[in-house]
Amino acid sequence: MITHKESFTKFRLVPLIVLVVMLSITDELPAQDAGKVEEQLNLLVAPSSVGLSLLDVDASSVSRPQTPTDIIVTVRNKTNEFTEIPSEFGLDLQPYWVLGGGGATYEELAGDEVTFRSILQNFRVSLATKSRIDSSFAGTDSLLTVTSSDFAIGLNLPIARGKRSSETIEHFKAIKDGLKGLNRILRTKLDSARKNSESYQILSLRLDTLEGELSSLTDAGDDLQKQLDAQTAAQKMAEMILNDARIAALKIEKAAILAQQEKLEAEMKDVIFKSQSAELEAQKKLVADAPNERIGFKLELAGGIVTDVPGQDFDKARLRTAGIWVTGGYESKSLGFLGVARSLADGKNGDRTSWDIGGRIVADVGPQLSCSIEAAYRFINMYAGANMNTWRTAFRADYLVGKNKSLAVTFGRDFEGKKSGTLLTLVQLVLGFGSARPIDS
Amino acid sequence: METTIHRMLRVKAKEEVELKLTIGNGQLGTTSVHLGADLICDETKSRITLSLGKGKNLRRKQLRCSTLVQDINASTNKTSVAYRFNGSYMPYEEKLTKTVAEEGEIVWYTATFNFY
Repeated sequence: MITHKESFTKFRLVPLIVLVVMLSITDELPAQDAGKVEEQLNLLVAPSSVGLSLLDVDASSVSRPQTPTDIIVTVRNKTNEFTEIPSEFGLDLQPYWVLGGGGATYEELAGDEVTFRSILQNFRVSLATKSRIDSSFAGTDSLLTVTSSDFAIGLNLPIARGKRSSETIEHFKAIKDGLKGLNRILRTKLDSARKNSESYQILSLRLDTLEGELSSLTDAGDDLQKQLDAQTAAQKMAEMILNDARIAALKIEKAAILAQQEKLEAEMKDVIFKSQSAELEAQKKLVADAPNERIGFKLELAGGIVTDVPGQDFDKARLRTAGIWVTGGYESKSLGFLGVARSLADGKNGDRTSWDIGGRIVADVGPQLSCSIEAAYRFINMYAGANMNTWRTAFRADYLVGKNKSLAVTFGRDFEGKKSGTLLTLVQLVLGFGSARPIDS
Repeated sequence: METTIHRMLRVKAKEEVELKLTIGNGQLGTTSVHLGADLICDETKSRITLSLGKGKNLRRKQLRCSTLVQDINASTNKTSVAYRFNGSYMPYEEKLTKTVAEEGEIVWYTATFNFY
């Protein structure tokens, strides 16, 4: 599960690595709410789905399709049969799982090894579009407004994800034991139902006879094949044809019996399964309550871009916003250290490009509360007229207010030279959706 | 979406017959296997390989597999069990799949193989 829930635990990730990747924007951009976007992205963590965060897409407008068909159906519905650009829409995809993921095993998913496959399994792509009334596009005529659309794409590539905590391992052991116990009950009941079903037993007896007949006939056919020689060819061939015809008839009967047995067994299973509904619900609850805490070394790369399409005219499309994060660190049971190297670009000719490096310490104060202190150093800042070498410091508290909801409060001092001022206060409600399992704070 | 199968397999008399069972999609599952009246496997593992013995000793015997798969993978609601036999006359490989409505749901797969 790993991946959805981890997206809410990134603030517990931790540092290391500092790879600075350069980004630049050369196209002209609208003087839109660049400050707002930067504010949203300013926490020292990569957004869990970069594309959605870059456009601040509302959670209710986000789809998480699980198959290629789901994607096509969702996009077709949202675009009114591919004829219009939706006003607000996001897609959050995990390509490995959308394309099947059939070969992945639980042990791989639960394991802590970093392999090419584990990286692919956690790779996430987010796509979003959002429309807005663009008065800047009107030029000198302030009364004229048009609808412009922004398009974003973001990638999240968790590389190292730590290993499962002992509590998580214990909980999953309980899930395994529960499942094994249930299987024992179900299969015993099914065996008993098979024995007590007269129809099933009659079919089994006939099948047993058929097996014997088929076995001897196919062996006889093989013998005839071996005995084939010039003198007796015609006679043997005739025998083989008769033999094959008999085998074919038996196979038809066999297929019919097997199909009847399948039908009977499916009906028996349905009754047995329903009779165990309380146990099944209890087992389901075990999964809903399962923690997904991972501790140890973690590392993630994330990046995204936004393209602005003024007047929804794609010939005028221009790159507007870009960001890249390298997040890594070490997390223990109740304490985490996070480091981030980050570049955000949002402005005309790249004049709002900033490069930061920072760190964060997170501590679990109680079962529901975690606090963190973060500091970021802006060593390159292309904000017009802004100061270089400035600091941002913040305190953040996350309080679990529900099963998968948390309230986050952030305050502190922002970088100097920001439009929004230097006092930083932010209250956020973080909602876990797409999964009933709790946010791990 | 089939979760119940009955199959008949012709096995080679002189060859070792082997069953490989795989629970896919990163889901958690447990499997029990009976050969005739004997329980030969009861494990909670995604990949199980069982040596069933020489084909001639398996003829007219029945192998019953019961697998419970629980959706614990938040990235997908798909579940699957794949069965593969070595030692049969014709190559045999079959995958059963079912997509559940919500996380935590359990799918019960059963497969019965009659050897001849």
